[in-house]
Amino acid sequence: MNADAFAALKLKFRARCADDLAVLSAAAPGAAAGADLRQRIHRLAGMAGSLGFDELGRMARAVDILLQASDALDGAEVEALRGALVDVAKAA
Amino acid sequence: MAADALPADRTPASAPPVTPARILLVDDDPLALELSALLLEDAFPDAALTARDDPAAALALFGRETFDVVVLDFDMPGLNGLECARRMQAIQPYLPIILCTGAGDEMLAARAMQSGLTDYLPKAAMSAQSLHRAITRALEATRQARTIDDQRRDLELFAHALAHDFKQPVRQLLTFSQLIADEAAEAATPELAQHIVFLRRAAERLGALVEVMSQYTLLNAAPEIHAVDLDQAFEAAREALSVYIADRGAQVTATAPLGVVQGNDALARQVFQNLIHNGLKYNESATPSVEVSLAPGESGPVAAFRDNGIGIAPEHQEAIFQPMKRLHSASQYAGSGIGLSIVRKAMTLQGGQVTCASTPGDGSVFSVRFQP
Repeated sequence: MNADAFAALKLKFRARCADDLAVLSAAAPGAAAGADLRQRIHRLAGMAGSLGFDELGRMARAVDILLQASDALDGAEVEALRGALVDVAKAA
Repeated sequence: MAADALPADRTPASAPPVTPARILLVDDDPLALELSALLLEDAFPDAALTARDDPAAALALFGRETFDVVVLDFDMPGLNGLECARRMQAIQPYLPIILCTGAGDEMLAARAMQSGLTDYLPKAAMSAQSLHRAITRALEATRQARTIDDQRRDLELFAHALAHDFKQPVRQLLTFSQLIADEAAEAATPELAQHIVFLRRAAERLGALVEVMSQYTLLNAAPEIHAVDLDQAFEAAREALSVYIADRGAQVTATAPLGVVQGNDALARQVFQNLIHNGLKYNESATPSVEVSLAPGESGPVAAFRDNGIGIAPEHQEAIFQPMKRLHSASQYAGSGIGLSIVRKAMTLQGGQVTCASTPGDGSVFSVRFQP
């Protein structure tokens, strides 16, 4: 593995996590998740684990699956995802 | 077509490499694209990697370039992964494609495999190792699929050779053995006359075998399905077997009118002919008989062929549909042992099926179900 390229990619990912956190925090509790936020969560679920952010990946997958059944952005899973995003994004 | 021309008529498939030389990676998420590229470079350091973040741009490469494998995201705007894969494989058949799926996309796995995709990989589980494993497996599966298709084409070519090239020498054998018999009729010793009879019978058996083998192996293409008048199929079969029916002093009847079903006319006639002939052949009754009837069934109309023949033991009632499977010696009952195999293949091609119920000594009932 190209360690430099991988480290650079992780930095970009952390930066995007900061954007994701901002979008998630701006969404009103109980409101329907928009297409942009859905896509952000889906992408988080897809790649966080492969970059070594296992906890964030698990949280994002849980919310991603919830959003496939319901539009509402609510519940403990969303709060847990917000917390995981804060942890990853703060290092950006 | 001459038999010795067969190898020139097909292009040998070049076996795909065990490791890919050219990989195409498609993902609309720039970070996911970058991550997958890093993992693929790690998994296959010698491969040439082409990456596109737009499925339309990836599709545009086909026709100009070929790839050994494609790693494709499912969830892309505009053109989803399944449709994109279908279009790629339409341009480059046998292209192994790994579909990368997200959370909750498990159902995609079944759809992906049904669509001809070679494999799928959950994105959350993506690593250099999982990509290496999936791609290696996909290349091997594709190589095997190609080999099977090549072998099937070889068999079809062989069947064409049987149908067209083998029949003429068999006819010549029959003709010249008859000429020898006629010319030597006066001068031949009893032994020579007997040998000529054996020669002619062997040629006749060979001719019959060539005929049914070519019928069976050529029976592969999906037939046109339309309304089939079973009364006409019955009459056609009875007419084709009229000499045999008369020779056996047999009765072949139908509970008229049988009616109309969905199927293929030519295949239905073949099924009727083979089942009626089968019912009369394996039959020691003073008056061999086959009665055909049609009744509605849960999964489609069922035509029943009831005979008063020797019957079939329960343990053989499935095996009789296997090609070349014979329960009796050729001296007891002449034949190729492939008539019922043709029936099964013909019914499967029509979306139906055939089954047998029988008690030894008490006749058999062959049930032919057509599609609803």
